Amino acid sequence: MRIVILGSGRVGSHLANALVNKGHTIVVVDDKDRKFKSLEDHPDIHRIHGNIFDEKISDQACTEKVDKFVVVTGNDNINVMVAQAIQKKYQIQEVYIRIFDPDLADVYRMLGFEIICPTNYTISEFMKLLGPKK
Amino acid sequence: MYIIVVGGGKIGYHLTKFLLAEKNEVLLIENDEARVAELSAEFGESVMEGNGSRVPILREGGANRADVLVAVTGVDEDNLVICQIAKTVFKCPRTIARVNDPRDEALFSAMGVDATVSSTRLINSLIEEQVNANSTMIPLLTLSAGNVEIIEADISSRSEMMGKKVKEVNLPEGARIVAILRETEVVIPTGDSLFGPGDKIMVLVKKDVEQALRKML
Repeated sequence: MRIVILGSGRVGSHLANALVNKGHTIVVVDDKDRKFKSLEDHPDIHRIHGNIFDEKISDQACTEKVDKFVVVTGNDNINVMVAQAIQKKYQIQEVYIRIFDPDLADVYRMLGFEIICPTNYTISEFMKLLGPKK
Repeated sequence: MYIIVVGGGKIGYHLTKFLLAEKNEVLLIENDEARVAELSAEFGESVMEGNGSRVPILREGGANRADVLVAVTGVDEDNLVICQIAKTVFKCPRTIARVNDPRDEALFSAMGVDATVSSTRLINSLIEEQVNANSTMIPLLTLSAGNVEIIEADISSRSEMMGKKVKEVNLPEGARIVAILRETEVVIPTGDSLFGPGDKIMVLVKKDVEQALRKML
């Protein structure tokens, strides 16, 4: 499968490394090329350095049919805007957005998007550890 | 009407001022503490500090009863998110977003924002209008290696030629009116022909006096 990941921070990079080892083809886009340093040197990980709002960059990332688009930049609002723009422009079926703000995550779930909210996961993990003891 | 304005920059400031003067109930939401202090000095209770792209802030601002929400921050993704929250969570009947990058306009409309305002596009179309307004002369034919041309031009209502006879108009040396186009009629002018509203003229003109002719139209 061809998966495009926007944002090559800790999550983006390590997700790319994990997915490529499962046999997928990965395209990682980030506007800061120093962020690519955690990416594995693997023939199936393609790096695109540039701003996704620049049409040349988004065209380059989506030349071939994209099966999944994962948006994990550090900014919630950028994530939801990019996700909607790219999904619409390139007709991508599966889009996954990371949103830190749990309230905002709910809003975009209501709008039908697949949302990953790390804040909620962290809280529920803490609750598992802290919960049983009264 | 109850109107929420998000973003207290120049646009948000003037918009709020205008809306208050029009006797609307307005809440201006601004994120920057120092800016809030400035705005509060003028607008008092109509200003609230907070990040308008957060659900609890909009709730506190009474987004659920807002008739209109206007997002005018300088950041497009924030404006989009603000409007989408207002629509989705608070069922706001009308959302308006400022679009800083004109390329985002189509996306905003497709994503449910009711109206967009792009200052870049507005300025572009104003300039375009100006450019067109000044190029009322249409070159029809270029003769003699580009030194002489026949042009068609509108006579504007402010033109010094308006209401005068051909012989009363001091055309620059090197320009000769060959026809007056009046609706469907073509008038071969004599010295007594009058220039009236809506008339166009065809002029045989040397390139070097074109600018002088343009000033008379």
